[in-house]
Amino acid sequence: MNLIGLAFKLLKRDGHSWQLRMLVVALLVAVTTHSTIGFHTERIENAMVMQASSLMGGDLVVRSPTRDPELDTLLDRNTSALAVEFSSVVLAGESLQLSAIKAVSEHYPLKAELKIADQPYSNDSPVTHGPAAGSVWLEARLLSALEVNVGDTVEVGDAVLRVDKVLTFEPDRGGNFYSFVPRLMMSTGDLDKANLIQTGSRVEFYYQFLVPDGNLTPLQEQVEALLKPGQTILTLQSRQRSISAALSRAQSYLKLASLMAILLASVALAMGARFFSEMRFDTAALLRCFGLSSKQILVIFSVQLVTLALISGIIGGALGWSMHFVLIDMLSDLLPENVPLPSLQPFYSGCILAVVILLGFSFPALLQLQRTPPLRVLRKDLVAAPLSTLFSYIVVIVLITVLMLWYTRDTVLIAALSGGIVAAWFVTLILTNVFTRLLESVGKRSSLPVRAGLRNLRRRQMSTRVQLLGFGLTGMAMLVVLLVRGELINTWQDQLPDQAPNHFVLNVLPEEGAPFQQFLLDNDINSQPLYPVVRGRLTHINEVPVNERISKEDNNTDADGTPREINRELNLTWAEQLPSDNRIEHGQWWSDATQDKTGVSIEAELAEKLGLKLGDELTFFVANQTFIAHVTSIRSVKWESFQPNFYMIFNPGGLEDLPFTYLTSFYLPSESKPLLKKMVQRFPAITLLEVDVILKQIRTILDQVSAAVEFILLFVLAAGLTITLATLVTTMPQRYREGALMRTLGTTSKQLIMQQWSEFFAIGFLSGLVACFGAELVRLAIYIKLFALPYTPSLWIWIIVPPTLGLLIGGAGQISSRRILRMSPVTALRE
Amino acid sequence: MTTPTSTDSGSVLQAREVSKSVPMPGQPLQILNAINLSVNKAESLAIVGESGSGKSTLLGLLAGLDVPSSGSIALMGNNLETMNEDQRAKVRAAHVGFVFQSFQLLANLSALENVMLPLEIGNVPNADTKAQDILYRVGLEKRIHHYPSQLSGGEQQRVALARAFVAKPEILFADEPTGNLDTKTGASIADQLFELNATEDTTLILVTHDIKLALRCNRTITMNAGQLQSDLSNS
Repeated sequence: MNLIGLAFKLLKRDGHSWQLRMLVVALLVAVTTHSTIGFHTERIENAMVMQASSLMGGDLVVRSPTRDPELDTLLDRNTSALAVEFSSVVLAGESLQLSAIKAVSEHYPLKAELKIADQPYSNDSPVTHGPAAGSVWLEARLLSALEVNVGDTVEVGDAVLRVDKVLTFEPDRGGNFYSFVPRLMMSTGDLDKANLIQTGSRVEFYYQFLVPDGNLTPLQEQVEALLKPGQTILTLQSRQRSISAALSRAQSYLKLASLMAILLASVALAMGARFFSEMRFDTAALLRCFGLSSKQILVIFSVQLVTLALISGIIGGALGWSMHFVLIDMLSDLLPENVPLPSLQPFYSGCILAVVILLGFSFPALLQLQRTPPLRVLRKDLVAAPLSTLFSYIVVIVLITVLMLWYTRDTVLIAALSGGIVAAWFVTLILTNVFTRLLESVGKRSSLPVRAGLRNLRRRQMSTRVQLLGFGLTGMAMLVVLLVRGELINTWQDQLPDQAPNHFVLNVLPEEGAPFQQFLLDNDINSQPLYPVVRGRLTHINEVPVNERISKEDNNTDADGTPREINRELNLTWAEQLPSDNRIEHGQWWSDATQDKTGVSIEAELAEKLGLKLGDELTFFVANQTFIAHVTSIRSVKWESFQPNFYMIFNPGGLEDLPFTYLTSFYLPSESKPLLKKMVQRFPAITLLEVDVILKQIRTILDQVSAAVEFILLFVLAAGLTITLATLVTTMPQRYREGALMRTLGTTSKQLIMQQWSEFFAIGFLSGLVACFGAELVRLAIYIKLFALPYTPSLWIWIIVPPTLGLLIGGAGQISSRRILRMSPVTALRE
Repeated sequence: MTTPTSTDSGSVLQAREVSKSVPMPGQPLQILNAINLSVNKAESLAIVGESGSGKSTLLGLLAGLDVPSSGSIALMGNNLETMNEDQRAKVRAAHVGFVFQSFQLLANLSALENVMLPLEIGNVPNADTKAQDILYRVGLEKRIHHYPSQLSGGEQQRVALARAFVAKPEILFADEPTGNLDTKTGASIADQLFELNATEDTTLILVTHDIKLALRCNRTITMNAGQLQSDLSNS
């Protein structure tokens, strides 16, 4: 017997069955949501990576302490560039100034544009190349420090170079915006002439590469094979702290949204597959009568389910592909042009997802179908004993967990979600056992139809439980996506408020501190406090040299193994109060009563990297003298805020005798830019850094991310609502029969409507409680473990969600059951 | 597994000391008690009795849809009580057809598709032509593409008859085939049942409350409280 052919024939003939259609609709919505989010996420990630890689200087950047002939061979194309960075003194007549020199090759910058101006603080314009050989571009503050103008010459080592333009923006300057040393950009063609790079010089060579087709792996493998000690492949994480936190949260969010789509799909299919199977008990019994074995029955229904899943997977994948273009089109103003197309991975995973969930969730029902006794043809009441409810639930929860783990490989997220699902299940059990009884007794005082409706909840306890869990999980998925999105976007807005500081001022002399603050006040400039800064180097930890304590394996170290954060002069400061966006993780902030003035508070990531703990002794070298401090606290710092932040903060009194300057940041709208010239003239010693362009760049990325998050939210909500309706419809056949019977016995339409309404409203209301409980639990876990956001319970959801879901399910149920009122009772009973 | 078409004595179905009980709180409920029965090829047998007398249970056991608690049943030489469900399924596929009181048509299949189903399961070629032919024979030529919900009770039972006979079974089991139909339609269905039975040379075993229908069979056995009360030839 050709079982597969028979399975296809039966499936084709079942084509007009509405349970089958509902199952396919639920599956289609699920796969379409999943693949749309998949394609969309990948596309947005591509866009974000494009933007972000322009901040990094290329798709792949290798930092090397020496010129490397092997890496040089890779530079032989127009998709690569070299940037050489080092510090050197630049001379102009009698003036000299330590400068951060950056020599760039022909194709630099590979990504984004440099901005240059003809004169300091005048309008700038973008260019896609660096200075030509023989010329240099200087930052405005270097021009003033050297007292030169555009057109003059400066000496860089042995080379005499002409100042051609004012450099106003450099996309890959990196996160250290308030570097003390001003920039001079020159051509690599002049490096030999300058004769500055000698063996042992502290130089960084940045080999930057573009990967036009987006497939980074081959180049990365090629580069990794050439990598020598001290050389590092730079990642966005290591290079751009300001945006990497936002990006990783956004990626986590998109992942979360995809997971919620899977959860929605699972709920729909768990319910749909159950009804699909229940409707096939008669078919199974008849086929058994006709002589098919239980295995053959299993094969037939499995083939049917796999076929349905594949068809839905393919159509859903294709729909997802089309839908993502619509979404991308809506975001076109935010996205760069020519964002690479996504891979087909979401399409394949959509198909696999459809097969796995459909078969997985049908498994208990399939086993029951397989064991349907043939005697059912004579006795309709006979069905195979279903698997135990507990077993079915456990199978379903394990299955969702495995699927999600396979999809995200993110154990924290999965643990949080699984916890939410289990919690939802417990709440469902409690609600069905306790609340339905309570509702029934409360309902005793109400009218007959309401009473009958509420009694149905208990009478159909199993079905009520399934619906509560189903709608509850759907509500939970929608709530989590909604709440997390709101808080993420708020966090991003807080991170970069409209008036985030866009200028940093360094080197404010101690005696100029008060007049400088007055100048800011007089000109209505809103600024941060003045932070005293002492430049110093950390040399020993507990009397052991720093570079001996650190593993050479750490890829964010310099050639000598010292962490990059340490292997340069640090900005050391002191403060009485803990900065507002810092948080003490270990130890204590000092108080007036603190006697030991040698206390220092360390930034948490650096403390971890250096293996520091409370009480450790640190030796610093400052202004030709050494002094010792003790770690009294470890702080977390929000690097993504554009506020001045410090690795080391000392107890006031510990550093005050050392030479210091002030540092601050402030916001200045673009129309007030002329004030800067006045500021520099009034306080010539200060160093002024403009970070507007970088801020704008980061804002664009955050806007993009927020928009993506908004769209994904809408999509998940729409899918959730569709699935809720589809699921509701699958519970209808039994209601049709009962409704018809009640009408036959004389129940009026109005009474029937009241009964349906009260039953559906109660289901919706109780599902809302399940949803709130699950969502709060998931949120608590992911906020703490995944997003590093503070968790505050959302009390409003408990007030809003249950009645809203009650009205929604009540209304939808009412619409779905209109048919009972329209059709004659005889027709309904005959069906 | 081979399934001989008949026993030496010409009997296609033999039941010896067949009992059926179901566990209940307290003590088991005895539904059938030591039934002995033999049915010959091409014979028609009616099982009658009051509701709850065990008729349908006996039919289910004889057809191999269930197994007795004790005793033995040989269907076309196959000892059903020694077989598992899948082995009994093979016996049913090879020899048995069914007609049910509640028709048991698949709601999502048209009349034609319902009739084709046993042929397709048996991989019989030209299933659609054969199904069409037999639907013509039962007078449903204009209804072959209708779905069960679009057919009257009598029409549905005629589809069920067509489906039962299309695979040319050696034994046909019918459970109250006219039980859901009015007298006139019931009589018409009975005519068709006996006509097909005669032309196809099928052994017929039917359960009925309808004494007229029972009298059209060669033999009638009467059940009472799970026991065989009488076994009379109708000739």
